[in-house]
Amino acid sequence: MGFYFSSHTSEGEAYPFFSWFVFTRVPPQFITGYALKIVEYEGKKLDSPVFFQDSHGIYFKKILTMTEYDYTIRVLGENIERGETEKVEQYRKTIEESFLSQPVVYEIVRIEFDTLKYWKTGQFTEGERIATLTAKEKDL
Amino acid sequence: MKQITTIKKYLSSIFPFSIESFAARGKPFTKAKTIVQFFYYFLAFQALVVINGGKFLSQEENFSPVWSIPWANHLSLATTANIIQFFFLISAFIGAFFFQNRIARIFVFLGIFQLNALLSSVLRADHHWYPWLYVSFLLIFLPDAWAGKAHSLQVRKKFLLVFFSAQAVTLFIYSMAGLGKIQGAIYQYFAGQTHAFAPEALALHIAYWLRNIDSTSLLGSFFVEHVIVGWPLFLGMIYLQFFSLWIAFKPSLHKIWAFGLIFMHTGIYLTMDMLFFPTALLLIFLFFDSPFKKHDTSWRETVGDLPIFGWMLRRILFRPGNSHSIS
Repeated sequence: MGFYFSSHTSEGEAYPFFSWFVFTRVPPQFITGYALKIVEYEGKKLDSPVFFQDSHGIYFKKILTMTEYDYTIRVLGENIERGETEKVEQYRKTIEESFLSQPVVYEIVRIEFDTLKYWKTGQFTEGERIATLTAKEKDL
Repeated sequence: MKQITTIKKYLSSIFPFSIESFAARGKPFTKAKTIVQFFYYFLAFQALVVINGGKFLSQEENFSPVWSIPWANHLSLATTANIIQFFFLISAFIGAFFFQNRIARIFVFLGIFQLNALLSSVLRADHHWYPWLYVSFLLIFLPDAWAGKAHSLQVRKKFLLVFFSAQAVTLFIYSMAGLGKIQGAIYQYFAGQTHAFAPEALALHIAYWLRNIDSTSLLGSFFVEHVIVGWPLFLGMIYLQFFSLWIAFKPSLHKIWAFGLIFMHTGIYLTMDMLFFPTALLLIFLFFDSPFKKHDTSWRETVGDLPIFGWMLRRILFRPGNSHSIS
């Protein structure tokens, strides 16, 4: 029953039948994600734009761990790509109110990375820019 | 017909497990009865724990009632949760008081069935209570083994058979999870992808999962940074899961295997921040003092019962003529 419902329902199961095929595939090591790049800070264009993860202590006092900001940036990127305007606004607001404590202009860029190296070093290969956004002062 | 007899003979040589021989002795039956009794007692305590936890109540927008609670379509999540949790509490206490009665056991099953329905209507892929659901369903079929003092062999046999089926279904779930990983590994191997038998498998699962759920764990970073340490553990987990159903027929390994599975759940929590507490509890109940385990089982017999390794060790270490051979 579990097998049948796993392939014949959109949820992959029909209560209370479940195939128990969990974590069957190892996630890909090389994947595409998104990063936030600061290009303008307090109305001044930066000579060398800085990625958000490298900006702690330079532009923003709040120290954040990768899991704190990575998820929100990734979901923002995914929603920009999908054209989900409402969700873009929702995640943009979260980022601008929680992480970017100063008026900034920032870009969301596509990145490619090795999951394991990224976890350890945060290193990635920069790809195409998908949006340039300005944090509104009233939101800050 | 001849082939079936041959297969039967072959299987009973691998799994010399007979419910009848256990039923003939009094102790396994008495022990199984006590475990069943405490299963229902503890469920009452669990019901109190469950009504205290409302972590999903903030998820009104994700509330989509499954088929078994159609009446919830007209109610809010909070009202539905209150009704179901109250029913679960009542049914669990009915079970704790009257577990000897089949009607009471049906009530308990319905309580868990509704609770699971509630969780599945809010939190997708929430299967914490599924094993309890299956076990409580099977326990409905227990014969009346509490009335009177003497019980016929037939009653004892039926009781132990139901109890064994509860053990088997719990272990079957793990075997399915193991089979899924092996099937996925074969697919990924031929697709040229990183597969479950590769050293990076555990590290990738942890890094990807924690990133997806936006969480951290106590040991997650360690295993992502020390890929090779996680390799034998992940392979061990697949072995443990895949051969679980096999273990149902090897009572000498019941306790060790259950401990291994609980250790696995603890490891998953410490690395991936995912806890299967109700299932761990069920494993303790069903296997830590299994009615089918003989008390005079030697360690050699236990090791010899291990899937694959036991077969190898029996041939290498415990050969007939060897002073350490199994008697």
